[in-house]
Amino acid sequence: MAALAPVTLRVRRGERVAILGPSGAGKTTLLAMVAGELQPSSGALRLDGRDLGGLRPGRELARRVGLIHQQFDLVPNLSALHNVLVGRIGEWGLVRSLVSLVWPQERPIAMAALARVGIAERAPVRAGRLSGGEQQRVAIARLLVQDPAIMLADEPVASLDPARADEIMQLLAGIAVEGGKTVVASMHLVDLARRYFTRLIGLRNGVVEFDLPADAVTDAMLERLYATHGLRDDGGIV
Amino acid sequence: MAGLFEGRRLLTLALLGAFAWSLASVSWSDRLVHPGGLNAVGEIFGDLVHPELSFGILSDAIGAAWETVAYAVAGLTLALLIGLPLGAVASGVLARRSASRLALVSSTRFVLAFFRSIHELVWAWLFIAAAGLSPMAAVLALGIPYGGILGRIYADLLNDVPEAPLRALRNSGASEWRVFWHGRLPMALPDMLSYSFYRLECGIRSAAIMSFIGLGGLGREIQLSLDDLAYGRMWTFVFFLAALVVLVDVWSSVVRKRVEV
Repeated sequence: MAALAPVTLRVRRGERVAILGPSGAGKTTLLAMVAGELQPSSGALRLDGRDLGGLRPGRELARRVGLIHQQFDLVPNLSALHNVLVGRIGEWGLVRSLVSLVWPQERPIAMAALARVGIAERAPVRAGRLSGGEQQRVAIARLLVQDPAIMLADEPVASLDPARADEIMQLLAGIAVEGGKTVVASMHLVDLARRYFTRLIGLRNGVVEFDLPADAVTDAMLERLYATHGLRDDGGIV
Repeated sequence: MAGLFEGRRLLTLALLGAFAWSLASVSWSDRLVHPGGLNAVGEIFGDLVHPELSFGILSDAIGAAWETVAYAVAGLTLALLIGLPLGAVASGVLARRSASRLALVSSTRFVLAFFRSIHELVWAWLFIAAAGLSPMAAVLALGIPYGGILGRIYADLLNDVPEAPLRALRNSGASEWRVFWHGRLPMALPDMLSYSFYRLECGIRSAAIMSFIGLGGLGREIQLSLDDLAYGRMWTFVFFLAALVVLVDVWSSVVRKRVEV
């Protein structure tokens, strides 16, 4: 069974798109395909008219698409600074990336990113010793340094408390506006999605239920989107 | 009815019978137990509380301990030189294509298995037969099987790190080599370190045992003391050996604290 029915989505530069929907709707599958982690069984992904599917993981893809997950994707034994510098790793040769493990390269870039997310003073701390919110800030700083055209976020605040979640979304949206970045995120908190995104896409059983500007989505639509009746029960792919 | 002579019970009875019969075949004369044995045991453990601590013995012990440590460290250095690269290859994380990966993984795993399937004492015999009684023989004899053990453990540890940070690295444009250096190795390092330290402990014990093939060190001193029936002196050397192992253990936990999250 396909995780996603045939979908055509056109996202303009600078848009902030939240993908909503119950578990198993295909949100993660959709994001993984855009991130190049998963190849679509049919169809194509284009960025500025260029096929993304043909790009192998590496620098070319990393310049176009960056991803943050809900948590636990930092290297816990490395410092926050080193984790942020991972965003530059695609730009460096192997030798430079090895030297960086001992003498951090391009430190000012990473420090500026850490300052932007508000935790410059935590730079030397090992990522595993940071709180959940701080870890997510490091992941955002890494994305800033990677500087992709599209920022993808798979449930970026799912493991944070409400206050922390709001801070992180505010930060992410602010960075996107400053840099003219496109954001596509899967979200389970509808309130946050309405507050920080320009466009909401409702996905259910792999089918697009609605695709509207954030202020045009009504409560009735959301209720229908999350209704348990009629959900397929394959528990989602990936 | 589950009878007395059924299945497992029958086997148990047969084994008990065989044991009883084997007792009958022992000749129960007074030669069975060495008549002076109990006295010797008493003497050995009597001297446990007064080891020889004269200046001469202590300086001998320090010299012998140094020699044993030198063999162990040199052997472990060789083991690291073998284990790190072969372990990395044997983990299969650097090869992308499945055909080359299978060939590399299975051949390096075979080499590692061969190295460690032969005990260090047997390697020592082989090298002494080939190259004569030299310190090099002991270092090679320690380093080769330990390299095989370390390589195998490293391969497993490098494979078993959490996947999510590696995905994030790939997404940032990192090649598998960079994923290895920036993700796998840092995450596996604490466990790799503590296992390597444990191997250094084993190396010290093995280096002491190397005296049985004629090399110097604490093991040789223990053997000479036993030959002289100088149990007090023997205990001095045994305590030095134990102290070395404890020292490595303390060192290990200090280093591990520094790299742990």
